[in-house]
Amino acid sequence: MPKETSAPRKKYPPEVSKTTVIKGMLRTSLLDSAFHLLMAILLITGLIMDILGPWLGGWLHWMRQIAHGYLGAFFVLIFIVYLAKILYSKKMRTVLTATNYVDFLFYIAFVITGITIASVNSPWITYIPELAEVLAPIASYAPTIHITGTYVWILFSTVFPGGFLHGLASAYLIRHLKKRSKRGIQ
Amino acid sequence: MMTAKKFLDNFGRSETLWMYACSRCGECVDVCPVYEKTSDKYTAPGFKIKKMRGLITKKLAPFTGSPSKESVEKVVKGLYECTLCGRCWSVCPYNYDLVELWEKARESAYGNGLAPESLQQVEEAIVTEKNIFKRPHSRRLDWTKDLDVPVGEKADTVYFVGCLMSYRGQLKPAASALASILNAAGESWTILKDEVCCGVPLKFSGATKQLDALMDTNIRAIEATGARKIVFSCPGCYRMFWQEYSKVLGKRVRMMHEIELIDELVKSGKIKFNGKLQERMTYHDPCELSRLSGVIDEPRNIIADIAKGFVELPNNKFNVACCGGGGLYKSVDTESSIGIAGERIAQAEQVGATILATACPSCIMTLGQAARSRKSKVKVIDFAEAVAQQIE
Repeated sequence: MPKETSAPRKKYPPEVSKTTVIKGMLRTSLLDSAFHLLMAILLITGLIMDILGPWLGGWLHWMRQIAHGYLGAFFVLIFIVYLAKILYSKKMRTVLTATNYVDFLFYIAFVITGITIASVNSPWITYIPELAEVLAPIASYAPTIHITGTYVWILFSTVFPGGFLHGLASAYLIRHLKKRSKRGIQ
Repeated sequence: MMTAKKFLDNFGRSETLWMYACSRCGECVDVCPVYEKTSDKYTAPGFKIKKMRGLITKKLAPFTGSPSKESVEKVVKGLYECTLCGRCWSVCPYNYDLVELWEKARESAYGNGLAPESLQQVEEAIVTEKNIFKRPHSRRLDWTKDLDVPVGEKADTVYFVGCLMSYRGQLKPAASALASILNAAGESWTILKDEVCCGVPLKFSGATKQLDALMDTNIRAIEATGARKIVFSCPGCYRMFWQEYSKVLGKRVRMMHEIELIDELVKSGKIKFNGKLQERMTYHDPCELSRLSGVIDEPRNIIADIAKGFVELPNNKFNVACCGGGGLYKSVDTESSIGIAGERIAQAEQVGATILATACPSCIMTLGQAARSRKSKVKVIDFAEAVAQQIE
């Protein structure tokens, strides 16, 4: 018999709205929701800093430190657990495409270069001082790899539908959800 | 002629976006009864979405070539190896209407000549004899012989019997039980003189081109009776009516499953019970009725009045595990279908039930067949039968 579930009662045909989607995601998996939310924040803040940085400079310091820095550090922890979950779970491995796996290689590169860039200050160097020495050889290339890699990944996962296109499609659908229940005859 | 290249051409922007938006959480994979039984990944909902997304990408993106016939056939096979029970939808965090997605994909498969042959025979049967079994249309009312059943009269309520109840001898006690309940309650009711298949098997198989003609016949017959209420024994017919027929009938006619009607009759005091079943009884929620039509509390209200030793099955109510007989799956893979039903019978045995009541002719047939093949002591009956036995 399939796994016994206790999904909350819903109405069919589904009434789909922003709230039901967000609630559904949170209910199904906090880890999954956190991974996707942090990914979106890191991508958006990263692009803002790279594109608007030359003009806004110091104004973006808080974003660099908190939204991209500390949240980025938190993302690393979430990402490790998320990867472990995928490797452990047959159901998740079943639904992932080859592009998704390449996406994960990109994410690993972003994590390593991100930590390298962040290691010159907190939080990583504070708690794991040995990291500075380990990452020293790539310290000078890390920012270039991190930024260039992001644009390559955007291109890659758009051409081969992967994480970026999935994010765009999700954001578009959630933004435009207005599908109401067709029932109402009772 | 098979035209694999046109498969999924009926998908619009919404379906395409949803497939890209799928978060690949895999929740649906865990709960699919067919995947659990067959371990064929092409039956896993999330995997089907992944493959359909791949086919659509090949259509949309340049330089990727067109989908191969083999890959399309594998996806189509997976689409029909599905009970359309909606359990994948029930756990989908996006709350996406996966049942509609499967039905739409089947429509495309059928339209391109990719559907299994057994389902093409279903269409032929319905077109020629207006029923799923290809039995003579003239014998649709045979079950009413020797029963007090009004046919084609002016009445407040129409009992839409459905193909299974009309033609399957095994289900005659169920249909006559509802007739006796309606008579006991003093309802003004009738069955249609010229009832034809509601069209749900065509919707399930994807042969939707023939739907309009069937719907037209039934709607005209219903309107001729002047009825304001239609009652169904079959949850498939019921969902077909509230989802499709209601677009034409609007709010002029109220549609309800027999369980909802019985619940109302009990509450209004029109029927009373003279005792309670002494045997240990359990209830299997039909997917179409509980998960997809929201009728969950009503049967339990009635059971409290008619059964002394009621016991719930695991995987019940909204989260019910399919009996294996939905979505025409039995026509596609009978052995697996009965295998899934066998597990449900085993659960009934485990909870110590000797009577398994359900409210769907397809569930009764599938579970009954599984019980017989297991030589189980569990007796599968229609809910209306259990009620009729206790009426004063």
